Amino acid sequence: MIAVRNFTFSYPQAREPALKDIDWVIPDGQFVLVAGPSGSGKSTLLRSLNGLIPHFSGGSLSGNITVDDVDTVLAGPRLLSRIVGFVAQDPEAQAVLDQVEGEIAFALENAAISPTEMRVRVEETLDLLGLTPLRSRSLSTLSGGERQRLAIAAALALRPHILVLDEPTSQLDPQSAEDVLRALVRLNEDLGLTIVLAEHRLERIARYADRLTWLEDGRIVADGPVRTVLAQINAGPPIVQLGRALGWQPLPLTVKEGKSFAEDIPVPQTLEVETSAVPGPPLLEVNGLRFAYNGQQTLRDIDLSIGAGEAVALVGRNGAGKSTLLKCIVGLLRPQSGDIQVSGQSVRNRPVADICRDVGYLPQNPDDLLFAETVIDELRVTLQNHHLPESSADLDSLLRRLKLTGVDASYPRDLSVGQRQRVALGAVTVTRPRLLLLDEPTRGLDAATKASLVAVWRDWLAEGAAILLVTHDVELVAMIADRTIMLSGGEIIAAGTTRDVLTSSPHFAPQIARLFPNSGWITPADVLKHIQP
Amino acid sequence: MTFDARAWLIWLFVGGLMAILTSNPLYLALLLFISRMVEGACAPIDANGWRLPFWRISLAVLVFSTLFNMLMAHVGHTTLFSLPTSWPLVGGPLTLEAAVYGFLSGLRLVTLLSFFLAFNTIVPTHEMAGLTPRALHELGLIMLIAITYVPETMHQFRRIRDAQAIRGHQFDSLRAWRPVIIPLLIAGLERALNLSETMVARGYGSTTQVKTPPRARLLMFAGLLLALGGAIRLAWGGVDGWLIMVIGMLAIVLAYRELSRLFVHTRYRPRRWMLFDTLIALGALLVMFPLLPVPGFDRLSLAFSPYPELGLPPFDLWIGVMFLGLAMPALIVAIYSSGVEASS
Repeated sequence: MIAVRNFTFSYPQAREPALKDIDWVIPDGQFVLVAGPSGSGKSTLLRSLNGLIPHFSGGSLSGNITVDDVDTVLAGPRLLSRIVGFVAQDPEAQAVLDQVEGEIAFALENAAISPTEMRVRVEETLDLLGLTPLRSRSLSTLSGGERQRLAIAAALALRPHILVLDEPTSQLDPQSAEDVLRALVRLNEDLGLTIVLAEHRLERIARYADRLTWLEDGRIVADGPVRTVLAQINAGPPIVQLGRALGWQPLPLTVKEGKSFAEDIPVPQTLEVETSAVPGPPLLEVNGLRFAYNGQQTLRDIDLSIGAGEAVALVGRNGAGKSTLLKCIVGLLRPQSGDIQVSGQSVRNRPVADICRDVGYLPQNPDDLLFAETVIDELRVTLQNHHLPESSADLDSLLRRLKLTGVDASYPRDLSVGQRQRVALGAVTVTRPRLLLLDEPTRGLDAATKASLVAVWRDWLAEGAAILLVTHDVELVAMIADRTIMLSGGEIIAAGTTRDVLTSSPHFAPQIARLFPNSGWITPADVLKHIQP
Repeated sequence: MTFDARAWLIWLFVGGLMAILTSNPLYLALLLFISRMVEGACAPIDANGWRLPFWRISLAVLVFSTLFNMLMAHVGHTTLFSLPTSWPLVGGPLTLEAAVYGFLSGLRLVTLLSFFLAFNTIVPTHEMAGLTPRALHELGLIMLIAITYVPETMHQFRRIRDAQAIRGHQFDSLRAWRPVIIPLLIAGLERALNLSETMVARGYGSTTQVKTPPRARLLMFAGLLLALGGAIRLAWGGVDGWLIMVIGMLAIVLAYRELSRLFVHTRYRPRRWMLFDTLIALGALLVMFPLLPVPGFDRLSLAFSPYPELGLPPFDLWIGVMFLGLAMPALIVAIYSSGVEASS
């Protein structure tokens, strides 16, 4: 049992406590989901459960936490490793050794478990996480999902009966995330392992958890069965949002649960197709693009065109060639054949810097861009790179748009994930490009941060920009994209309006599309507009 | 089939030693051939990823050492052509002998590299780390972590460089790399912190007694003091300095044993020394046999000099046969795999 009593914790030199008066008891065998906006204290709370806080971070605290009657502050993380297994966000940063079996055995070797006992434990752990076929593989050959399952296996090798995971699926594509979550459910149901999991994407996990603890600003603001808590807070998967808006009781968590309510809502016989504004002249045109990497064809005969004011989403599994396409557009990769035109001008033989004056490309990891001392300097650096004049009025207006006004003099890396993402966005759009390429721009962001980014993009679209968005987040696609292109194995396998493409693919269909098949609805707003015009 | 890392270490030692000892191109070529053959036979099949372009590097080394020696050493009887003597360093006759000597020095280096490369490709890194003595276990672990770190850092470097390029950044001077270096350093530090957090959360260090016992400290201190004292005594002409130094060394070994005992640690699937490993070690040691003062070997044939006039290098058949002992791993693998094929 985990018992947190009156726990308050402040990081060293922090003005405000990261956790305030937490009282929280978790009985054995429970599957607890910890959620809340970025910076609400989820990671801090999770790291307190195995003593990493305060042993690793320093800081001051009051109150106490006991796990199986062991005080976490007195025992420290090394001793607690036999009771609590811990898995962090990024699977790549958790690999100690370069081989699957060795990685699992690492904890056992250090605990001086006898070789015969160790063999048994490694076998059993490999089986539990379905890693047996990969046992002798090198870590560099594993996919993100496989690596994260390995991190879980390594954390379980010492046979802890509590497993604490800090956003373990935030860096994974939907399929890999599903594999990891399924493994966790099995551990919880078959072995009775207590699981404490922090996660943003509630739609993935809400149905599996017994309990939801909602944190805001370092405090627990709601705690209890998932359904009850979701009814109280202003967040949740689309189906919950719809259920809340329409007063469905009990609140459905899955499409299956929602079906009985959905039956009562008449679906329009003829699809009311919104006449979205006709896109302006094409800002991006790709014709017959082919690209091969190490002799392997990663893009084949890609044709696409995006007009001013249009947002197009590019979806597909990992390795489908989505990021490769973006890199070809900005000239980081040279295609074998085909033509790419930005604002009517071919990018062939143009230097990357030159192309990127007209194209704002936001790469997957915003931290790769940030190096300057202040937020405003980050924007200035880009202007200087392009030898463009800077006007403080323009910079101010961009900062205002990105809601960064108060932090313009802060060190960018001290900001929250969402703020860093916006600084990076500012750094690539300060040249006022009309074409925006966004690679997984909402990965690891909470719903509120996501919504604020979407608002910024909508403004830009209204002013005649064009957006090509690469994402795994189908709910985001449903929110913003006019058209969707689906890539598989380097080829376009489906293209059309977002409604048509998403509703025709079971794998990529948003929850609302699955709830109301053949309705053409993809967001809760679509449904609400129909029944409450 | 795989062999014990310790057997491979003996193989590497003998192969490397012979490559350094002999300057005869025939023996060197034989050693080079054997080391390449053993790597081909014993390297794990799935060893994908980046590999050192051995032949390309070898060619560069050979060309460079040949040209360098030919231009610098103006001795030997067979003049190929001459450069004006007024040219500093390179001026004078360029001889065939100097070129051959340069080529042989390069060949030696290439052969040595070939043995190291074979060892590196064949022996998995975790087994290499297993060779580190127990008290130095942490050193081995750091090496292993570094090996996982390098490809990751390279990947990150490329990503950050691309990210800066798309902001219009141009890498035209050394200072211009700042936008890449800073994020790379910070990301590296963050990764190191995450890793140490992970290791602590997995109980790393929970069995190690952190405090060094006073006895080990005392022994280490006394050992160092005696070794130093002995060395000074020797320098002043005292013959008993040796004795003092040996006692000092003994004390250090005892301190080391004491420290090893502190470190409680087990190994997953510890490797047992098998008959095949003995065969490999014996095969390698066989190569050293001609070095002993035994009759029947033309030991002088190991050394070959093209100066003053180039002649044919000698070759002793029996020494050549002994060298084949280094091919033992390839032989065992060949016999084993043909046995497996026959049985299936």
